[in-house]
Amino acid sequence: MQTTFFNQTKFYLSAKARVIIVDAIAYLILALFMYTAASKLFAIRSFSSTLAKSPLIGEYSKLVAWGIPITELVIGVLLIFAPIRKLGLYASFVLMILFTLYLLYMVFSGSKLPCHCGGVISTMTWRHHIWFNLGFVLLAFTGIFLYRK
Amino acid sequence: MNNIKKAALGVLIAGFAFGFSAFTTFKRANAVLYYKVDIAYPLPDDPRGYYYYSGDRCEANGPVCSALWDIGTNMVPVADGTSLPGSGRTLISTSVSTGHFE
Repeated sequence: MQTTFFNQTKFYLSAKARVIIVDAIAYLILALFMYTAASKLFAIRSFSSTLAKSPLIGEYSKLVAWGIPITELVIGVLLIFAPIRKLGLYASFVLMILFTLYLLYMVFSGSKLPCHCGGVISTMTWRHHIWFNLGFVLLAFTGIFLYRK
Repeated sequence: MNNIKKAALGVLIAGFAFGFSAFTTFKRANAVLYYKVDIAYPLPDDPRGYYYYSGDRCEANGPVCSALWDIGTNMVPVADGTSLPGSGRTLISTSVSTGHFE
């Protein structure tokens, strides 16, 4: 009886629904990365000077300041084209985890929290930012999970 | 939807997001970050107490640390400690950040 109950309540998604959900997730992550990449690139000096205050990045601030938006643009390109979208989802999952780990380190290490300037998203507090990132980590994971099925 | 249509939609979304971000960033071309140094004037929209300093000078905890002000045709400050212009400036309200000046 228990088996029957679980069989009846098993969550089922058709192949078409899975494709639509994966596409929607990919477009959402794409929009986020394009938005944040542009806001960093158009205020690159401000972004670089903010990173220079970070104890983890410090002297590599210029390299990281250019590297992050360029990486976001490259991942965006991967997400645009369906044949390589899976790679884009994996890359965005890893990048969002790295961003989240950095934020967690900054919040819980007791480091001085530098201002984060540029883009509408920057108006969030650091803790809000962590939840926001975790949401996108979950989205990317869902996309990968549905893609693999 | 075939792959070409999906790619076209992706390019459209990417272009829109990038363009929107660029537009909102360029709108801030005359925006300068001022720090609320004098906490005798604690309200973020009160222009008194704001001074220009280069770099990031904010520390955690406090009601207001800095805000972007559109200074219009006023001279862009270069020297640390320059006060906010007396007229022709507008607060960009979404830019107020919490904390306190170091």
